[in-house]
Amino acid sequence: MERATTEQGQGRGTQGGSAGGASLQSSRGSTTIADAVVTKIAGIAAREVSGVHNLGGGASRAVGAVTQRVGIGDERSQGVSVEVGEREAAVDLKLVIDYGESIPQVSEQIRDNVVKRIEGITGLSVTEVNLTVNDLYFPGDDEPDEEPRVS
Amino acid sequence: MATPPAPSAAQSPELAVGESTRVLIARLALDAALALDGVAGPEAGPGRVWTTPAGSERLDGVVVTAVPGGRYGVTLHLVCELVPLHPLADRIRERLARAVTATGLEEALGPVDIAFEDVAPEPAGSGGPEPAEASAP
Repeated sequence: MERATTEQGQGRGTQGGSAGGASLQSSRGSTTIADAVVTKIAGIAAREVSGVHNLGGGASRAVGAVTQRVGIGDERSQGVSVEVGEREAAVDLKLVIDYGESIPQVSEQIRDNVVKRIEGITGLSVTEVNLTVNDLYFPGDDEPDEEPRVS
Repeated sequence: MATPPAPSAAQSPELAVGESTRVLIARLALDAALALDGVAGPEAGPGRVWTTPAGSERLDGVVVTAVPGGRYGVTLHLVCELVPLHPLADRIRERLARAVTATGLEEALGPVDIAFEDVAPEPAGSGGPEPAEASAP
């Protein structure tokens, strides 16, 4: 995990951290925000948008389903990667969108919400939110293909 | 480098008698952080390295180390909720400063570093912040 620094506010300097995230240095100490925090904020913000069915590529969703079942995975960071710099963050998201939604509209709403949440919570400026829509969800995708043989 | 004496039990009856200044500050720092809305809990870290032993118990999520000048620097490792984090960190520092002053340890408190390591899971049944509705095409 990388850790970077950020400088905000009058009379404040910067200081590198040790294990990933953004850091704000003041005379009374530093505040560090780990990459995992920015990742989860982005994942939560994307899921808040109507039309987003899931996050992650096919492989990561399959692996995520297993890891979450055994309690070691976190759905909120699935399909999200972030790069956090001194003052800025860039976000990449992999998405599954509900069939029938306007992908350009949903994408714009995701960008707006991700930027709003990350900037509001961490103070970092979000320079880019790159989206990859790698699947569509159809109602019924989750239903079993065959009727059960026993009642 | 003079180490400030630990307060007497009369000054701080809620603190265990005989604890070192370092442990007292660790306990106050953890209490100050966990008392605030927006802090979900401490994060002990991989291998539980972010811990201060306090006798038979361990204070997870806080590391206190001596710094030059006879003071003690505090590092808090916390799990947060989805709230503005820099104002939250400032509130933690202010609360800790008040607690330390109340126990007579203000001369011993050095820099207070705060690391937000993770975001708390949303409570069951919580929909989180208001959803951003997709407008009809």
